[in-house]
Amino acid sequence: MNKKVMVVGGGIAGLSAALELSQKNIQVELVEKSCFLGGKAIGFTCKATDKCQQCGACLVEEVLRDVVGQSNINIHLRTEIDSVVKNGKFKVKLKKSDSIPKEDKVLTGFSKYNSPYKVVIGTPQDSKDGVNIDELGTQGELDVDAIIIATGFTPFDPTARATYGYGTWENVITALELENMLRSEVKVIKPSNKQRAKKIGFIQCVGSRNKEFNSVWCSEVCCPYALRMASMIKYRYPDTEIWIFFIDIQNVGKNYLSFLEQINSEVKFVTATPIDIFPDKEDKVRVAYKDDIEDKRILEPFDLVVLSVGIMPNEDNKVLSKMINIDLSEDGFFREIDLMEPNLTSQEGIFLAGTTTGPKDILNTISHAKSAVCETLTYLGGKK
Amino acid sequence: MIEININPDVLVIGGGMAGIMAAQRIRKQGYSLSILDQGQGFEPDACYKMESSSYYSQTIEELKKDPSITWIKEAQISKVEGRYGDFKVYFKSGTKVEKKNFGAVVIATPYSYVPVFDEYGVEPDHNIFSVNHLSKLLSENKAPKGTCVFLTTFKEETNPVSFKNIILNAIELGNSGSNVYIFVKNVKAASPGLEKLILHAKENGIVIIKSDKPPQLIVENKCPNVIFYDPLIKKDIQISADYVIIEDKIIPNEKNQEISDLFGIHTDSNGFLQTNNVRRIPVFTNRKGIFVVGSAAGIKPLPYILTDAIDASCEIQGLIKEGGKVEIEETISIDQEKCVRCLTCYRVCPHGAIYWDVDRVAISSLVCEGCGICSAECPMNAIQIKEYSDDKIKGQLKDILKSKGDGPTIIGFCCKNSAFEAVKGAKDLGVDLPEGFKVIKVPCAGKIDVDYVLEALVKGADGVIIGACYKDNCKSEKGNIFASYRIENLKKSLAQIGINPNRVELLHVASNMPREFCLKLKELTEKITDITS
Repeated sequence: MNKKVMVVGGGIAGLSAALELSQKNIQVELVEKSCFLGGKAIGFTCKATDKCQQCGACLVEEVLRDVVGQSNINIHLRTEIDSVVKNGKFKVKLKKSDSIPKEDKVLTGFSKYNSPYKVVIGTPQDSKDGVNIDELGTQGELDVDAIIIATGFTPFDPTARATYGYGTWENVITALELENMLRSEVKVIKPSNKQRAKKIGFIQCVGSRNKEFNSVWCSEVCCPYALRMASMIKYRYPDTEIWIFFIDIQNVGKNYLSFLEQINSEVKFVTATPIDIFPDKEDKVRVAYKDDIEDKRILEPFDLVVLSVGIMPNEDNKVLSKMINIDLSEDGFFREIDLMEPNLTSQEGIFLAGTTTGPKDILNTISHAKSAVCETLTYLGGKK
Repeated sequence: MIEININPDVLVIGGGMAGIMAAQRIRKQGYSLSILDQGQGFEPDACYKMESSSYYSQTIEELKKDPSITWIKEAQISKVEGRYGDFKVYFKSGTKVEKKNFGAVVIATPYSYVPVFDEYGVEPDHNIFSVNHLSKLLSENKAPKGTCVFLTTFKEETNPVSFKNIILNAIELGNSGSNVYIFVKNVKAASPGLEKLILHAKENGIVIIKSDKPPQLIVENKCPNVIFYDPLIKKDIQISADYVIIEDKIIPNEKNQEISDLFGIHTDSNGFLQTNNVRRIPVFTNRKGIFVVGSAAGIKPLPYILTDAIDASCEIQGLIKEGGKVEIEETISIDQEKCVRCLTCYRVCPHGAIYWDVDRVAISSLVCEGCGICSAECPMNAIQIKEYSDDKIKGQLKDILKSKGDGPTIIGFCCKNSAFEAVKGAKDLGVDLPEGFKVIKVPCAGKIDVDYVLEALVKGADGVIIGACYKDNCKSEKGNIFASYRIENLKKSLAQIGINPNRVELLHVASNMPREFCLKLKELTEKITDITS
């Protein structure tokens, strides 16, 4: 099949879709806005204890390596879509993205076109082997037969929850940052003094299930990642004390019952939504919450507080949706044409993959991306 | 090159939501298929009935008109032979047995249910019944009216699929004028659109009461009373219910074990037909050409049943293509001169690639995943994987140890799916691997023969490290387990003959954790260096 498909987004959804297409001998144009492939998930840590906890983080690395090794995938990093015109095929205008990665937040996979996969710690400019950021970015027009939208999500910005002090208090971090920390440092560090954090508090549902923030959905991934990280930290550093503040615990994995039994013996669960977080004189962060049973306010000190931020629609969705003429749902995610058609859109030839349609974990994202490819192939096969 | 014939017909097992969805998608790919119902009938799974029974009925009507579909009703499978490309399945209906051939099989057995009456110490009655029974009443326009209390399972906690179904039933009860209460430990919202639905239910007057402990259900004069402790006002509260509706706990289909035995498919600890292993995502089983969809694999929200169905149809397309003859390369071979027909290989193969062919053991290169567990376990060394033959691995060992430097040399046999990737990652990152650490790539830790380790030690290696995947992450399910028991035994033998057993170690690692692997590696190599210096 002499066809070309554009995949927009180089996270786990886009990578899975690109790999699947390339294995079916379809030429792929993989467009990624940032300077890196792998999206959010490439920074996630393995959460194995003495056994695998089925988070799927390892699969992201493997898919990424495979994608970079394929000769029929053209990778356009630091590239955005400027316009899309449909005339049987799609004429897509690409432009160099203005977005530059934030300093010190870069830990992920890196590659230019089909050069060997390169991991760069630090900013690309710092690395002797990395590609200069200014060299990245594709300008120009491409004709493609179909488009897969795999632009993923934007994590909830916890500064919106002002009393939690994210960005103000050093020892309040997001769960994404904890994932990255565990992957690169292999232990949990208290940012203020670089010592190991011995008492950690997780706060669930930061941004999710919240009418006030207009996010009336469960992000589905936060209980699994928080509980799995908690369990993994306890396994490696049994002297760590972990508390989890929650509204409702969601099921984690297929063996939820035995997992729950185990995690209940390892961490302290508190049914409460903390009101306030602030540091004290001993370099601890205090979490203020109301104990409903005792009916009093409690100030619990922690070395580190981890905010389990939820999955929000990608902030670029509005612009992109206008460009490709596909409606967003009232929540701001891309909308499937029908509940029973998980990958189809109102535009023939444009398909959806991954968290662009709503919260999904790594495994469901891979599965969704594969079905998007299947639908794309069916479309290409039927199209003369 | 070997020539193999691929049958283009597909078997779908299960007439529930997953089975029908899979059938529809496979037909869309153009394959003829048979749909087997093992007695549960062709109807949507009870837990999805409220959500989308119209979708099911539309789909099945459409499929019924399709002449390329054979419907096998109320039959059982009595025997399965063959492999991907050519499965021979024997169907038994009454005393009649019929054989059919298929190129691929999709297992989509529907859920079974157990209402949790026991948990509340009650028997079903006219005013105490299960959610599935309620759905039936609602569909017949026989909605009970009055105060209705839903009791979910507290012992095992509910799940988003059951909970969504309860909410949908509750909303309908509420709409017909009943007062509705739902007792639950944790509200399960982790399913597309469910949080909104819960909010909608609450706005429509449905009361969801969260509690750590299950409420008490006391039946007096046939009247059920639900008593629970309210922590806010620190008092017991009693609700006199007209109807108590008990959750139907979703369990794996009771036929799953039988199917697992017939097809040689591994189950998870609950009894679903896909192991709890990310390597099987989304629809794979331990056997090539056999796929699991939706309710056969685990408890899944409806949209994921659909993606499973699409994924399975796509995988089938990739495997079967147009059917007919295909040529494949021989990747694994048995030396019939050495083979003593002990059938060890047959027993250990996780992929069903080894079979008895008239008077000898045969291996299908088409089905073989190349893990090499058989090759390492074979007591006669009769099985060789072409890419990783004993000669090739021992040759690598020889080369490494020939150019041995002054410092200690440690051989790392690294699984290509985890440790070997981690080593590559470390190199990319510029993280230093311990000096003298030399890597030999293996297809799976299960390929690492004790002979390799011994040979390494004999030829002058100071230590041997085996890099394996974590438990439940092995592509061949048990390769890492075989490796760890071999190493355990080897360590005992080494101690007996006076060699320090700590010169051999097994490390579990994930492919994406190069730094962690290097840290552990460093620790171990230091230990080994201390022993040998």
